[in-house]
Amino acid sequence: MLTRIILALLLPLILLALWQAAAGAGMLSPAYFPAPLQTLDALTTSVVTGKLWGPFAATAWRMFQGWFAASLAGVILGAVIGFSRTARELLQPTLEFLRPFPASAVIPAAILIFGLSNAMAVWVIAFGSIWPVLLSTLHGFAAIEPRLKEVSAALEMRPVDYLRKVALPSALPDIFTGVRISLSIALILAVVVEMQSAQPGLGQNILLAQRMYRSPELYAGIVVLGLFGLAISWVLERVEQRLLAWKIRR
Amino acid sequence: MTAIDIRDVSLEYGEGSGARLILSDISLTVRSGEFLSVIGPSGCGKTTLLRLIAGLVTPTRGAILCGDRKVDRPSRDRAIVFQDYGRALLPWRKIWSNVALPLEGGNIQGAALRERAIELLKVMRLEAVADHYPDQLSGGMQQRVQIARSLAQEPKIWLMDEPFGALDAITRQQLQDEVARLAAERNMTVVFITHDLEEAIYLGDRVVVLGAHPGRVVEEISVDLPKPRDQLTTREDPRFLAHRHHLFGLLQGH
Ligand SMILES: Nc1ncnc2c1ncn2[C@@H]1O[C@H](COP(=O)(O)OP(=O)(O)O)[C@@H](O)[C@H]1O
Ligand SMILES: [Mg+2]
Repeated sequence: MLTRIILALLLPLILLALWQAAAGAGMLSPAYFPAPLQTLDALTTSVVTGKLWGPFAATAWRMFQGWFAASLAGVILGAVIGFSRTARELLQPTLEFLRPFPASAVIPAAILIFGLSNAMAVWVIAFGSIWPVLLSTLHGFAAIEPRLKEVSAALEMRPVDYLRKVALPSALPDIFTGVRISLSIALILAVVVEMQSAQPGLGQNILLAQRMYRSPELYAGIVVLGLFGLAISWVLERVEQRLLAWKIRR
Repeated sequence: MTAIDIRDVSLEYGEGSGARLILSDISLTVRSGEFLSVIGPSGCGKTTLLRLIAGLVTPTRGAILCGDRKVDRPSRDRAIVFQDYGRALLPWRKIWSNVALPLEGGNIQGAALRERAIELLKVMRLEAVADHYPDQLSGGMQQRVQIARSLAQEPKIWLMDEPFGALDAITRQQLQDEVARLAAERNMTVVFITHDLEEAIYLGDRVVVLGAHPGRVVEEISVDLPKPRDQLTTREDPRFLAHRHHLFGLLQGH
């Protein structure tokens, strides 16, 4: 385990060391490629002074709201469409039509409708990140083993028990895949929407740092976002391992 | 008393010009407590017949009655042991919990639920794997789990679709005796599908032979062998051999 971590970190560390050496030798312009240690410095400063937490919390909260709304709506909608042929025929064409819209392109329209508000940002994030969870939930519910439906029928299971005992557990691995992808899209969109609409947050901080040529701060922001993305996917993985122990066991 | 009354049942799959006649004018009655073996070549419609009795499929023509009620949907009174055992278990539930599924929502709750499930697993000699998951078991073991689960349902009618196809010879004989014992003890009516002629005779009070294209009844015999049966003496009984002779010729002919 430890050796694996060391091996995984080896390449990035070497690259960073090279970068640091090149910057020290004056081979890289500090305006574009500040030395990694400078970035680290900017990062520590913003952590120590507490300047980081406000924007970080704003971005994380926005991302979470959008992702949560998308997951909830995606699972419910996906379950309904996956269950009912009528709902599928009614809704699927519209969804197929909406799906290719790049979420970043709907930002101007969202601003028009909701103004420069957090609600606008959440809507955009939810719209953009609903697709993976919706489509994989739909697939999960449509792909329930027919034999298990018959087993439930022979036991005269009530619909609510069928949903709870058979349908949901059966669709859960697919739902989880969707939820995970949706989360990473939500993070991307949280940053993009901040940049496009001047909402306070890490995305905006990065943009401002760039405009003021404070490149260490810019890179520090990117590092924080990267670590944050890593952390949430780690948490989700843990939850998944818990919930789907029967599947991931070996 | 009649437990299952199949009246002139035909079944077609597909519609219009694409319709295929799978079962043609089947008429059969099964007495309460009777053990009926059904045998026939692969693809002749044995599984389809069982699904009709279960209420999973409705006949195109004719009707099926259980007691005095028309079968139009599945019922807890009729437990099904599916041929494809691998798909019939809930892969996310442990073995004991799969067996407990039919008990849930009933009188037994909490720890007693597990105890009851384990009692049933003992009947199938599976108590050792109670805390395993289905995909950790061999095919034969999975099938026995399914049988244990069907017992938990406490059915009046036991519908079994080639249940022992995946078992080795020894386990197979043990389970034949176990199933015969349980059916008698609980006074269940059994429809037992098999492609093994000797098994059909060994277990059945009656054997029905289906022919193919379309599926129809070509022969019905009563097995006049004393019960309980015995793996050695029953199979050596001249009447057993005579039945075997007769039905073997019939099956070869189709
Ligand atoms: N759902 C279905 N739709 C169309 N044809 C089916 C369906 N189920 C079974 N059949 C056909 O019905 C025939 C009988 O199948 P089955 O009852 O499974 O036979 P058996 O169990 O005797 O091997 C086969 O030709 C099979 O292809
Ligand atoms: Mg079959």
